[in-house]
Amino acid sequence: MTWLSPAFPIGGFSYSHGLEAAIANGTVINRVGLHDWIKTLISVGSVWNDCVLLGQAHSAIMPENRAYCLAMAEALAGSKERHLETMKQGAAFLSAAREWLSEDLPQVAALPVAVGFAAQLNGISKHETLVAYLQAFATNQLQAALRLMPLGQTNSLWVQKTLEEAILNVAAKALNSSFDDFGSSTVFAEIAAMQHETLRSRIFRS
Amino acid sequence: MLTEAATDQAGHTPQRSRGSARVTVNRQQSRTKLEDLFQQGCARVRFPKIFDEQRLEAVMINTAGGITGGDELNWAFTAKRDSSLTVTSQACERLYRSSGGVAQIDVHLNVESGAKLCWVPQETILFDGCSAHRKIKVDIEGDGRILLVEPVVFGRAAMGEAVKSGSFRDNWQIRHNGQLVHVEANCFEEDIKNLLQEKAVLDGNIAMATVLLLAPSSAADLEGKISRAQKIVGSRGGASLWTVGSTGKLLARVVAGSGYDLRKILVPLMGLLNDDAALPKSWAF
Repeated sequence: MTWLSPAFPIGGFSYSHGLEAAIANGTVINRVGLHDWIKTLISVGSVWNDCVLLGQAHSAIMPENRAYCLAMAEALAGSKERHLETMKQGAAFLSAAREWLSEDLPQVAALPVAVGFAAQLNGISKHETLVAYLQAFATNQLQAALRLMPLGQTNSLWVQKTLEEAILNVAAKALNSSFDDFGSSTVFAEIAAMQHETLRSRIFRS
Repeated sequence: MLTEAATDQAGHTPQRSRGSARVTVNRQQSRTKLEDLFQQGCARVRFPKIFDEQRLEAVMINTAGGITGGDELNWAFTAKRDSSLTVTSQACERLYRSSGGVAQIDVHLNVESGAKLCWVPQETILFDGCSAHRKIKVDIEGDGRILLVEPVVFGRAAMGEAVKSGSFRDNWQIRHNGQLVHVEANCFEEDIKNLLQEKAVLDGNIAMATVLLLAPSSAADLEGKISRAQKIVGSRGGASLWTVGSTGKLLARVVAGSGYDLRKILVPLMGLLNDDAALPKSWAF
């Protein structure tokens, strides 16, 4: 999945999804805290909603279904920077993936919806796409954490390995999800994403 | 009103309560007047006399005294062109333990152009084993404006009660001129006790609120409100202002250790977002 590798030019490295604020205010301080933070986001947070959106986008073929996915994803973004993060990356993804696409896709889409559309058009299975999307999110969070806290490669790899089971479980659950399965419990992660806007010194855009 | 629900395995037919209320207000000269009122079952609405005649205040009353699995409540409020309606509740809504089935709470809010709707119910209190699904649908036209405040408290801590498990889903869908502009999907399920302990969730706190102000993105006051809102919510809250289509959205989330501490933040925040118009008596502090 070249599309979801860190080398694919969607600018993922510049977004922390609120992690920068959570580290700055002392909420995430070590590898266990980082693992729990990411696991909660993918299991019962904003990234779970992304997975539901990706799955629905992957199944959406009729124009009205695609339009609904696009509107839903944009409306779900929980703050100014979360909105920026998903819309900018989605647009960059669609632009970069144009080489692979036989069909014209909209130029503006939230990231999980853009990925879902593109994967479906290229015959990449929903399950494979979900796993790659979750893996890409986790890797991106770890890259951010390496720059933001004294984590080190060994601990980073420990978090990566420990997250594997959750990633596979979430992907399996999302495979059979519908729009009724939207739901997030991660109030403090949403708040961290908002607090990032007023953080004194910032190296990430979210 | 009590109706019969499906018979359970032991052959008992549990009583379920149902209620439905619809309110429409319009503007006549400088006053907001009641145009239509429909109430059925356990849903009742009262209109206390207030000094400000430009707006009308509606108080929701659930005469069943709480909600349990299988209950159904429907509330619909419409603020017609240029009117102003504030909706609150007489008491905290209690979501009691469910013996079977999911309680359905459906809210539909319509705000016509030039109108203002302020949706400020008191806290929803979750009990251990509750099972409820709330759906709030909002339709805004033109330069209509709405403020939504939904505080939730997990268990009555003062009574030594905690929520161990259960299911509470809270879904909002907001359309502006027919376009979907905001969706909330809050969900607390299964092992709620441990879920609330997660640092990304409530970090052991038991009270939270979602506060959303929607207005045309051209509204001049939103920019001035956001920095004040960020100060009010403090270190355990956040506030953000952004635009989807032509809709300005000011969203705030607040977390607190108790319902009382939550109110201490919500009252000034609601005052700011409601342009210092008087809050309902139920929110007096």
